Amino acid sequence: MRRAQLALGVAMVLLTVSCTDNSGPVDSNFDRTGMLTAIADKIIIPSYNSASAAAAVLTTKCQGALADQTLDVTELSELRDAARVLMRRTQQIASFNFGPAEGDFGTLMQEIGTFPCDTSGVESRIGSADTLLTDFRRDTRGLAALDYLLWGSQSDEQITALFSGAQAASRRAYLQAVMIRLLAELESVRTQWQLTYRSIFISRSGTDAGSSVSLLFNELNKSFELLKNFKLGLPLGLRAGQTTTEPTKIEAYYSGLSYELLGLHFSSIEEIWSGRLSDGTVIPSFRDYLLAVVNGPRLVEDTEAQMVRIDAAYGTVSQSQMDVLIRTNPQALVALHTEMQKLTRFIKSEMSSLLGISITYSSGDGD
Amino acid sequence: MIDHRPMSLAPLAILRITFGTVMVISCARFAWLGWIKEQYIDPVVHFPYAGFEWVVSLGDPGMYVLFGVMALAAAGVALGAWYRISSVVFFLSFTYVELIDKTYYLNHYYFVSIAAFLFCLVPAHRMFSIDVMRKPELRADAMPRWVLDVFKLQIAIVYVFAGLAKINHAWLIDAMPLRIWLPAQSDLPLIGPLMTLWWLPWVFSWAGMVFDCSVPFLLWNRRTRPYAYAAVIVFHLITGMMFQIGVFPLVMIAMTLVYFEPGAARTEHSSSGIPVRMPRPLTIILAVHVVVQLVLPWRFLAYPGDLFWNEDGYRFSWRVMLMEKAGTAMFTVWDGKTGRGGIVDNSQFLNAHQEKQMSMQPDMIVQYAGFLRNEFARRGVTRPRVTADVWVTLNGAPARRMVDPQRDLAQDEIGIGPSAWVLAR
Repeated sequence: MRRAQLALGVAMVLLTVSCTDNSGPVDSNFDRTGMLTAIADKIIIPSYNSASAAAAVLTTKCQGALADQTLDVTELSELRDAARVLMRRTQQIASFNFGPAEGDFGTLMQEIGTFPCDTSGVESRIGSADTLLTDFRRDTRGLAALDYLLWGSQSDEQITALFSGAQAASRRAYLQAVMIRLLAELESVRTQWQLTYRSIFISRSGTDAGSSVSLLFNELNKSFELLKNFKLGLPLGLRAGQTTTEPTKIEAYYSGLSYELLGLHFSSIEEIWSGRLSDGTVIPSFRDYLLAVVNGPRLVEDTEAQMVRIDAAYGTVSQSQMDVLIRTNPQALVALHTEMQKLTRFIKSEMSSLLGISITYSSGDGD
Repeated sequence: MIDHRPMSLAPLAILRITFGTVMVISCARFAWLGWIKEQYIDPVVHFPYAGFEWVVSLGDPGMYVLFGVMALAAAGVALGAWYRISSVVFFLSFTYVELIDKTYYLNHYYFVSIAAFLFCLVPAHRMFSIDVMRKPELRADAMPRWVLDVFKLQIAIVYVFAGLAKINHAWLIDAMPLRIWLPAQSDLPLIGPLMTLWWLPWVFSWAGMVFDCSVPFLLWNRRTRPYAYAAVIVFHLITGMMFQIGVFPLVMIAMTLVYFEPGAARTEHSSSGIPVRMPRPLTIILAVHVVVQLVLPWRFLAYPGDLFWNEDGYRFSWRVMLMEKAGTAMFTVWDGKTGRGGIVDNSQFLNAHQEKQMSMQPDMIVQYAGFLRNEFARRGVTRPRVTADVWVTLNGAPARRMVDPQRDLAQDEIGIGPSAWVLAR
C-alpha cells in the first residue's frame, strides 16, 4: 500500500508541475442533461408537434373533400399539398425511433415510413374493404400508401374518378383509414413525449447502454444507414446481391418527392448532430459534446468537412424525378452515396469511441 | 517453492463452494438477460477460434439445454455433489460456449475456464460436500499446501500480467483510454462529479497499474493481507460501478478469498487428520499448466507489428480494459463474372456486438469475409471476391485504414501466423 501511495504522490506532483501553464488540460464537464433537454425541447418535441399537426390538417381536409362521396381536381390538389407537407415534416422525426416511437408493429418510422408501397396489397385490401390496418403489412399503409393513392395514376382525372361514386366507397374508406392511422400513430408518440417521456429522456443522462445519449446516438446512426442504404443504395442497385438498379424502389415514388425528402432527411441528421437548427437557433448537441472531450475538436472538423462534401454532392443534382435520374444519370447519385459512406466512420465508430458511449448491453472486459 | 507440508483442506472446499455459487449466479444472470438467445441462437454467423471451427452453436433448444447442464454442473461443484463429473462437465460446457464465438471473449470468462479446469484436478470435494455425506470414506482433512498455492499463483498471474500490460506509453503517460472513459461516467452517484477532473485519469491509470502489479504479493503476505483484500473490494466495486463488466468484480472478489487461510495453529491441528494423496500425473499436469500460463502472455513478442493494432497474441494474455478501439467496416462483394460490386449491410448478418468487435479485429474481419463469400456464392454471385474498407480508431486517434481496400480478404486464412492482411499503423 505504501508503494501505491508513493507512486500516486509522485504521479500527482509530476502532473501538477507539468500542467501549471494556462494551456494545460481542463476538466471536461460537458452538461449532458442540458444537451438532452435542449434536444427534447428544441428538436424532438417540436418536430413531433409539427408532423402531427400536418397529419391533422390532412385528415380534416380529406374528410371534408370526401364528405360528398366525390373527389374533384381542386380537392385532390389540396390533399396533395397537405400530404407533401406531412411527408416533408416526417423527415424531421426519422431519427428518434426509441421510447414512445417503439410500437406494436415496429418503430414509428417502420409503421408510417416503409417503402416501396405494396400496390397490389393496397388494391386487394380496398377490394375486400379491409381497413383494420393492424398487422405487419406496413407497406400497405403509411406515407407510401398515401403516395400511391393520391398520385398513383396517369392523370388527375383518373385519380378523382377512382375516388368518386358509390362504387368507390371502399377506396375512400381506405384512404381515410390510412390517414386516421397515420395521425393516431403520430399523436400517440407526440403525447407520450410531452406527458411522460420527456422527463425520462432527460433523466437518463449517462452514457451506458440504454441511456438517452446512447439511444440518440444509435438511432441517429440507424437513420443515417437507412437513408444511405435504402433510400439511395437500394434503388441504385449498390447493395450486395443486387444485379441491377431498381428505380421504383424509392421513397415517394409516385409523388416524385424522393430527392427532396432525401435531402430533408440528411439535413435533419445534420441538425441533430450539429445543434444548428434551420431557424438559426443553436443548441448544445453532439458537436458541442465532442468539442468538450479529448481529441474531439479534430473529429468535429473532419465530420463537418465531410458533411459539406455531402451537401455539395447533393447540390450537383438538380431537383428532379429520382427514378428518371437513376435510369439516365446514376453517376451523380452514386457519387453522393460514396460521400455519405465516408461520413459513416466519423459519426459511428469515431464519435462513440471519443464520447465513451456504450452501444450494447453485453458485458465488456473487466478490471 | 513447492510446499509439500500438509494444511487443512477447508480453504479449498470453501473456495469450491464460493466458485460454484458464483457460477450458478452467472449462468442464471446470463439466461435472465436473454443473452443465450441473443448471443448464441439468433446470430446467423459466429466467429470461432482457429482450430475450433467444430465448436458450433447448438441452436434452440440445444443452447438452453447446454446452459441448463452448465448451471446444474455449477451447482454440483458448489455442493460437492458427484463432484468429479460435475467439475468436468462444468469446465467442458463453459469452455464450449466460450469457444463458439470470439465476439464475446472476455478475460474473466477465460479465467473462469482456467479455474474450472483446476477444480477438475483437485480434491475440493473431500470436505463440506454431498459426496462426503454419500461416501464418508471420501472425507479428507489435509492436503499438500501447494494445491492451494496453484490457485493463488493463477490469480497472481492474472493480476501481474494485467499490471505489466498497463506499463506502456498510452496508459501511463497519455492516460489513455481513461481520459475518454472517465468523463463519460460523470453521472455516477457520489463519485460522478469527480470523474470530470482533468487529472483523475492519470491517478486512476497509475493506481490501476500499481494495484494490479502488487496486489497478489500483498495478499500473499499475512501482515498486509487484510488491507490488500479491502483494496481488492474497493477497486473491483468502483470499476464494477463505472464499467459494464458484468460478473467480473464478483468473480475476483470471491476468488481472491483463496489467500485467506486458517491461522497457523488451526492449520497444524486440522492437518493432523486424514491426508489426501495427490497422484503424480495430476501434479505434472498442474506443473505444465503453470508453465503455459507464464509463457502464453509473452507470445505477442513473436509477432511483428503493433500489438494493439494487429492483436496477434492479444487475447488470453490478461490485457484488460487496455484500449479504446472502434472501427467502421464496409464490405463489398464482387461478382467474378460481371465485375459488379455490391455493398454489404452488416446488420443483415451480424448483431450489434458482433459488428462492433468484427470492425476492429483483424482475424474477425477475415472470418467475416469468408462467410460473405460463401453466403453470396450461395445466392448466385459467381466466384465472389470480398474486399473491405475498414477504418479503425485507437485511443481517440484519427481513424486509419486497417486493410488494403483492394485485397480479396476471402482468400486469407486465420491461424497462428501473423495477420498478414493488416496494413501497418
